[in-house]
This record gives sequence, C-alpha cells and structure tokens, in this order.
Amino acid sequence: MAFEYEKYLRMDKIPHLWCPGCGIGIVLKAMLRSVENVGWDKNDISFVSGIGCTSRAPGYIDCNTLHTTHGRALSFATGVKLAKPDKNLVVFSGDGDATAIGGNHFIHACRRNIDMTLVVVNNNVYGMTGGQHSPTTPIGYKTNTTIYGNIDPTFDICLLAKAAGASYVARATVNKGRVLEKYITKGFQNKGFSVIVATANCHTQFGRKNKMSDPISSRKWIESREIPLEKARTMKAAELKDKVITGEFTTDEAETTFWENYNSPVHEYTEAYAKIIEKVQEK
Amino acid sequence: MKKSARFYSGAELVAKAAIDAGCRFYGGYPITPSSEIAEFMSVMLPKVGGTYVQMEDEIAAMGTIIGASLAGVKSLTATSGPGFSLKQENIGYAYMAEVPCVICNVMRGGPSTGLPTALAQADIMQAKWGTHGDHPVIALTPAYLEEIYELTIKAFNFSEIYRIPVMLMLDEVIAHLSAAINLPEKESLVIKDRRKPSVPPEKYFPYDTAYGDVPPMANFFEGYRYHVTGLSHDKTGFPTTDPELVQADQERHLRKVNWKKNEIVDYEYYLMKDAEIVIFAYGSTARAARVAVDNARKSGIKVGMMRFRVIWPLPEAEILKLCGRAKAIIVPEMNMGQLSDVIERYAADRTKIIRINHVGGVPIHPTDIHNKIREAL
Amino acid sequence: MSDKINIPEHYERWDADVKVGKNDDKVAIGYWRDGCKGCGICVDLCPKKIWELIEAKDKWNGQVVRMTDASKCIKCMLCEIHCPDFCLKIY
Repeated sequence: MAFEYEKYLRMDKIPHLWCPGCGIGIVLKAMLRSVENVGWDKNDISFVSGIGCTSRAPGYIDCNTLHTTHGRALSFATGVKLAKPDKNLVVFSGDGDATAIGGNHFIHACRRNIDMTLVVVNNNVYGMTGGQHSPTTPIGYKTNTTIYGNIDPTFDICLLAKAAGASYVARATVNKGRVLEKYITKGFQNKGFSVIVATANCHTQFGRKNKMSDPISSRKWIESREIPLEKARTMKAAELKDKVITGEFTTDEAETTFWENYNSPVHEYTEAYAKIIEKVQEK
Repeated sequence: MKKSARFYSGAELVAKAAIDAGCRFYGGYPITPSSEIAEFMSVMLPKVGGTYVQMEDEIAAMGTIIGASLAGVKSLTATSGPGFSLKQENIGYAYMAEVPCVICNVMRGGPSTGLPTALAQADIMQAKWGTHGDHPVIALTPAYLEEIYELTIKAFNFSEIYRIPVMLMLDEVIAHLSAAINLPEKESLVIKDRRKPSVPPEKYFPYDTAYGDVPPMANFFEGYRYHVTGLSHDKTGFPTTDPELVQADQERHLRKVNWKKNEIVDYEYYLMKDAEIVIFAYGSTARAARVAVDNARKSGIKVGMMRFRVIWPLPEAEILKLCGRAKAIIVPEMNMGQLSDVIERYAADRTKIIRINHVGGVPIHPTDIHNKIREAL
Repeated sequence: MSDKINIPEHYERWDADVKVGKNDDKVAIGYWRDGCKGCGICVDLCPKKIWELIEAKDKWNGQVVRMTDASKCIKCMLCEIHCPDFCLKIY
C-alpha cells in the first residue's frame, strides 16, 4: 500500500531542492514511515538539523522544525529535549555536519545517551558547498579539494558512535529503503541515543569526480561496497578494505558483550536528571 | 540594614535573579571567571524543577539555551571573553530566529586567553559587533550587587519583550564581590513573559509583522508547527532571498530596539547639575570614578558623572547634550577605549576627551581619575 | 479495492488487474509528473521493467518516466519506496 507522505509533509514546499536521484529524499521517506510506525503525534516531534544538503530536510516536514547552525544541531536538540523530556527529538545531519564541524557534539551526545535519534546521511562529500572532501571521503577518491586522490583517512561513523556510548547504532544504504525504515523505527523506539547512518549517493558532486555522475551508477557503487555485518565477520581484514559494513551494530555477539560489559551506556540522561530533581526536592 | 540581609556574591545574585525571573534552564561550559554562576545554577535549578546541563563546549552551551527557549523555557548561559567569542555564531542565530535568552559575560582580559583571573571591560564592543551581520543589541553593565539582581531580571524581561538575546556584562570584580544586601520583595518584582499568539495554528506565522515589530512567539509542542531557520526568512519562517523582504526584515530587527530606546536606556547622574567636567563610566570603573568625583568636589572642582547601567543602546540625546556643554569629558575604561571611541564621535571635536585606559588587570584607582580631573581644569 | 483508492487528481493514474504471488489482485499506480525529476531510479529498480524514461523538454534534466504496462506490476513497492521525490503511489 502506498504511504500517505502528505500527512507529514509541507506539500507547498515540495518538490524539494535536492538533485534528481539524490538519496536524501529516500531517507526522508523512510523516516516519515518510521514516524507512522511508532505512532508519534506531529505536535510532539521536533526535527532538528544543521547546515548542508541533508539539513534542509526538516523544512519539508510538518512538525516543529529547527534548522540551526553548521554542526550544532545536536546541541540545539539537547536544549529542546532537556526543556521538554517527554517530547520526541530527531536530528537529521550530513556526514560533514555530524562528524567534522559537529564531531564534538556527536561524541558527547552519544556519551550522554540522551533520548533522541540522529540520522546521518553519509554521501562522502560536502555537497552544498560544491564538492569538497569530508571526513568520510574514502582514501584515493577524488573531490574538488582532493583532485590528486584523497589521503585524508576516514571515520567509521557507526564505530565512533558505538565507542562513544550510543545505545543503538545501525547502518543501511539508500538502496534498501525498507531496511532503513526498520532501523530508524528501532532508533525511535530505543530509549537513549540512537545513530542511524544512511549511506547515500551524491552523484552530482562526489560521483562527478569519480566516473559515476548519474544516480544509477552511484547507487551501484554503494551496492558494490556494501557488506552485511554477519558476512563481514567471516571475512579477512584485507577483504574488507574499501567496504562499508551495514547492519545493526548492537547485537548479542560475544565480542560485543565483552565491550558492553566494559563500557556500556549507564543510563538515559533525561531520566537520570529527573531523578536528581526528585532527590533534591525531597529534602 | 534589615535583619533579612545576607551575604551574596555577584555570581550568586545572577543565579538567584535568573531563577526569580523565571529562568528554568542553564546550559554552560566552565570558564574563569564565570564558573561560579554555573555552580550556583547547578545547585539551585533542580530545587525549582529546572534543568542544568554542562555541555561539551561553549558553542554547544549557546545551542542548548536557544533550543530550550524555543521549547518555552527561559534560559541562561554564563561565559567569559574567549567563550563569548565562541558563542558568537549561535548568538547571531538567536538574533536571526528571534529567540529570547540571556548571556552573562563575566569579562576578563584579552585578546585570546589573556588575563583569565583579572579585571577588564574587554568585551564592550564584542557585545555590539561580535557576530556577523547587523542586529539590535541590549547590553547591561551593573556596578553594584543590588544592581546585579535588578539588572539580571531586567535582562530576562528585555529578552522576552523584544525576542532577542540580551547581554549581561559583568566586570570580574563585580561578579566576585561579596557583601550583605537586602533583596527586593518577590511580590514587588515585575516579570515579563513573551507574547503568545492569539490566533489558531492555521493562521499563525512565526514572523508576522501584523502585530508590531516583535511578532508573538509560539513555543514548540503547543500545536503551532512552524519552521525556524538562521537563513533570511519571510514571515512564514521559511528561507527567502527576495531582496525587499530581506531588507525589510533587517530593518525591523533594528527597529525592535531602536524605536524603544527610551524604554531601554538606563543611566544615573551623579552630581551633574553644575558639572563642567563630565565622567562617562560603567561597571566597576564607575565606582572608582564616584570616589574621584567626591574627592574633587571637596576641593571645589565642578565635576560629575554619568553612569551607564545599560551600555547598549546608549542614551544618545543626553550624551550629545553633555558633549556640547562640558568643558572636558573623561572616560575611564578597563580596555583601550571601546566606549571612548564612541563618545568621541558624539563629541565631534566640541569638547576635549580624556581617556583612561588600563588593561593590566589592576583596577583604575580613584587617584588615577582624580589626576585626570586636575589635568582637565 | 483499487477503485476506492483516491489518488490525488494531479497524479496520472493507471489501473490494471494483476497477479501478486498466486492471487489475483488490482493495482492503481499514481504518478506525479510535476514532482518527477527524471532520475531513473524507478526504471532501474523495477524487476518487471515497466517504467521507462522519456524525453521531456520542460524538465531541468530533460527527462521524465512513463508507465508502459501496469498489468505487469507485482506490487513489490521498490519504485515507490525509492522514489526520492514523492512522485509514485502504488495501491
């Protein structure tokens, strides 16, 4: 059955500004279906974003939407959430926004395990500013600022989020809208900080410099790099070079349990603060 | 002094006044010499059901108070010079999106790390021009403990009335001063809250000028689902690049404060009736200047002081009048002349401007000012 | 049931009898030409290849899509889920 996206959109703002075939629209749709899945009221949701192509998404959503400064979306969202802990916060961010200029806020939101969901659309490049390399541009690839091939090593956003303390971490590609929807829904349901990375295509900026300037070939490139987590576990390190592991990064596997025993999220921040208020006011 | 008087430090008074003004959110980052304000807020806020959060950096702290204010909670942050610089981009956002909030800046020596523990009035111009673009400014400069309480409440009121971030500029020694004082009765306080929309959500525009230069503000989660952006926007809150709309909006922003100047400017005359020599001062230097005026008066010198409790906007008409009348003007400042430059423009060569600029971290002594008064004769 | 589906008027619409799995079914396909940017993702993803790209001089990148044979639709929803521009509706 077709989904009634109109219910959640500001239809007078559609068509949106993204290029033909841009993956952000697919992620936005998966997110709206997830909102329906968890049954949130539009008045109780705030969508927050920073600056960049991805960050224009909240403008299209008929909720309390907040388009902030570059990289700072998570800090604005933290303020909104702490002021109204019973409301639902969703942050929409690009790879540059979330992990370069906003990297500090990213790891600290994970550490605080504050109850909100961050959706990072990772297209490996700064799109809106014209195609400069980002902290996720793979080694060797060309962008407008790495025309001789990128030598700047990359972040794995999921591993970073997990190490910093996020309580739900998953990655899917824009080729698999249903999987994205499943992960984002789980992120919404998780009481704590959730990070969902959507690997997306930017054929306009990244593809253009790397011989895949149309959406289809860019999407095929993403597909060619994707390795599901379960399969990746059976592979050798050399085989995983230049690959992107997808799946849920929070599983019951022995090794995960080991790391979680050592460094697991202690509590959700707003719940812990509510207990402080209770304790202080009892006195 | 009444029996109810108790010891307060300047920092505690900022916190107490903020809470009495209805502030229920503090987002901050530790920085000398403002950290005590954060400490007091972390103790006091949970008692009234409010929220204190220490963020990962100054920028994030500024972000949280804007977010909390949009969600309908009055919010405060405190910082000092370097932190104030880091906050500037988000302060600009608060101007653009018209989000009320209060930033307390306990000033220290600069530039850069400068003199973290020493007195300065280094950020008078940063308060006015710190962020890029044009915007209205309200900055308050208390000089006494009682005034910290009074002006902090005023700062919150101004921010709510005009929907702008308001700067509370404390000299380091003012924030760290302790004395026994009486606070006004709670019932006597005037507390202002932002004007809420009177129309239903479907008729609401977040930047609707039909209601005057300060549009009514709906809080998030109250059924008014609107868009907030730092991009130039039209009355619906959505981005626009229409030159006429952008121009009109910028002019309205400035008008919010410029047209209400008479209700905002705040100054005090001290022995000014027959004064031939006029001292312009604010914050801690005004306290030294007052002693200098007293001493000079004893030897029959006709000197008086105009002290600014609100440094931005300045009472232009009064300053212009004084510049035409005074034989000489003395401006003592703990910076290299951030206010004197402005006064010089008003004076326009009609009178002599004598500057006293100390940036070594040591307060200006009344004797320093007294010597300049003699020089002016 | 597709008769009852109220696809907005500004959508082009195709109705057909289809077979989904072993069951007989009906399909109603809606397509919003004004919103379509002609990216071709639906053309690429459709397992039955029933979308095709055609020239459109009024469009920024010179193309839009067209439904060739709605009766071959298996309602896999791949095109609908992956249309970045909110242009497709499959009922």
